[in-house]
Amino acid sequence: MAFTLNKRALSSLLFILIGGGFAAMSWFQHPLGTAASMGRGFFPFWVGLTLAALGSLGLVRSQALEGDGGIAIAWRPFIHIIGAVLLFAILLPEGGLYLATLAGTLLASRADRGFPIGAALMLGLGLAIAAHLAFVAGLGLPVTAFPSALSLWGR
Amino acid sequence: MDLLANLVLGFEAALTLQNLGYATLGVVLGTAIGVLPGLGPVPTIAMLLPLTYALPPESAVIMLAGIFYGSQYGGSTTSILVNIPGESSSVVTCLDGHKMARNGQAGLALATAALSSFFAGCVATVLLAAFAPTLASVAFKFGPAEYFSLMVLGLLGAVALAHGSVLHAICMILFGILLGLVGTDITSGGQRFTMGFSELFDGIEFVALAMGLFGLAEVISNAGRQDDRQLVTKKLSGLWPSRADLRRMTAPAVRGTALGSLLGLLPGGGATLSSFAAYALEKKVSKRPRDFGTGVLEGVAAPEAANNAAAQTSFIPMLTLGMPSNAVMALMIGALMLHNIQPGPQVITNNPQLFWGLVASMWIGNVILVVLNLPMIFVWVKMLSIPYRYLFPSIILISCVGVFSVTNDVFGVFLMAAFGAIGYILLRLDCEVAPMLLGFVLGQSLEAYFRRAMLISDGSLWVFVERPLSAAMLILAATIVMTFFIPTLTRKRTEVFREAE
Repeated sequence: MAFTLNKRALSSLLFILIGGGFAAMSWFQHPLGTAASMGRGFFPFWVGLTLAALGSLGLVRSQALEGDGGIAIAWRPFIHIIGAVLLFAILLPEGGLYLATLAGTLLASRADRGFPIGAALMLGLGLAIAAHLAFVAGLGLPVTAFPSALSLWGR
Repeated sequence: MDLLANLVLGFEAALTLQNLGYATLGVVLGTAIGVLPGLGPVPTIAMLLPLTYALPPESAVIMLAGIFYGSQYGGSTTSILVNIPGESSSVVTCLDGHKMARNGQAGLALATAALSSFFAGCVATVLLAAFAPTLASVAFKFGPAEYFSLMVLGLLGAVALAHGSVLHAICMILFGILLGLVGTDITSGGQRFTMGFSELFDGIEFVALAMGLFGLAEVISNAGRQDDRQLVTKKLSGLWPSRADLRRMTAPAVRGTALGSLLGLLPGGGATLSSFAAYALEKKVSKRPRDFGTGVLEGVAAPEAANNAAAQTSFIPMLTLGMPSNAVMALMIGALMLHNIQPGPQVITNNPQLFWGLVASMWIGNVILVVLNLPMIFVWVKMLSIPYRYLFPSIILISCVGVFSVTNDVFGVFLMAAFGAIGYILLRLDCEVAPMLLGFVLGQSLEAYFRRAMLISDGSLWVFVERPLSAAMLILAATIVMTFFIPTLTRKRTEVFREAE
């Protein structure tokens, strides 16, 4: 019987990897100790091992399944939305709240092909103002609103 | 009488101008966001959690509770007016509620939902006030072995009622537990699994994890989709039901409340399960079961009463045992921990103001819901017509700023991006993320209780079986898991879920 990489098999492999990874880290980097006096590796080692074991069980069972299909990822929204969050995080410290929010909104809006650029810009500006009012003015979040000329000059 | 004195204390805490304001704000914000299609209570609470971070604990919990039932009520509104449930607990409300709206009875359907929720909320609040202290006094007798077994039971019980593969759900719990262990080990003070990031020394930021798993992942799967909404806005008159309608909804609301209150206490129970169960029960006892699905009042009253009752009674195990029965309660525990309050039996004695204030605020919140929502329904209808296109970038950016505001560091935002990606992939692999959140929240306590139990028993695992209460809980947990590995039952469970969808 040929091995089929269906959804169940993929997720099972993922669990084996995660469980095995945590168990290995616990084994190599942390004292295990004994059950009566547990080291900090003890509990995660056994939890990780159990996860890997259950993952293996799932892998075996996955081969009995038919027609569960492969994994389908909507790459366009995935890349644009995760990218928007990353862009926001990168721009915020130096670029300030407005620049980060505008850029993030623009990139996120590209997840939907039909999103007009003008509308995205307006939305971004609105969100930046709302965030400014709620978090900076309201909750006193320590973040610069605009990139200061000085910090740009300094580069 | 003790209960009365406690309730007075609670109302004193909840009725301060400040807390009343936060409760109202929570209900309004919760409803506004919960109304938006595809945004249920979990992402709503995760998204608004940062706003409560700066508040004192009582106010924060009161506001979060307001957000919770606000978003739940908002979800019902969406189910009735648009045929898209805002969240899973209102799926059933779609069946008859939307049909009623199509038949020109949108106003009546909305009023039925509001009134039966209100009735259920009042009853559940009394139950919470009456039973939580008793349960807490029982929990005080628990040793570490009992606590460990209780958590195992709670986690496995929650799994049995989730969609999809039980094996995968257990794996997701274990994954969550492991993630919960990242950071400084409480006992030895050493770092675990931080990959050298000093930002992870305090553990993985709860808000970043929750927003990534529930907010971002959800948004990614919805963003590409075309939405065809059939919004029913015509004839939104006749909001107030007639005397005959009121009489018709009474019995279903009472039955729904009773069922919901009970199911809310169970691990894995809560709003979704109880609304399904109440609908099924109502269909059983009805003289005209064939009419269900064509727009009958009873089909709205019972599930709406049930999900609201369950939403409130599920606070009982959360507050007294520290045991979340579903993802919303896991979020509540996370929120309490942000304020350095460890949910458990000691909450009632150590923070009586918080506990009784919350109980009182639940009743007040229900009043606010009815008073506010019937007249404000036109505003919610307006919000419903905003295209998803404009919503999703807003959700993303609000989450970004929100996470940053909690951590004061962009590391949290990076972390949220990572969990968004992981959550989306897991979602595509048919792995539900709710069990993972439960595991994450309980991970550290699970280890701590296990360690203490092992210390006392000198490393013997028998301690979990030798203590009768602990043994009973483990046997129950094992039975639940075994039941769901038997193929015929699994098929039946899938059928139940399919029928409901």
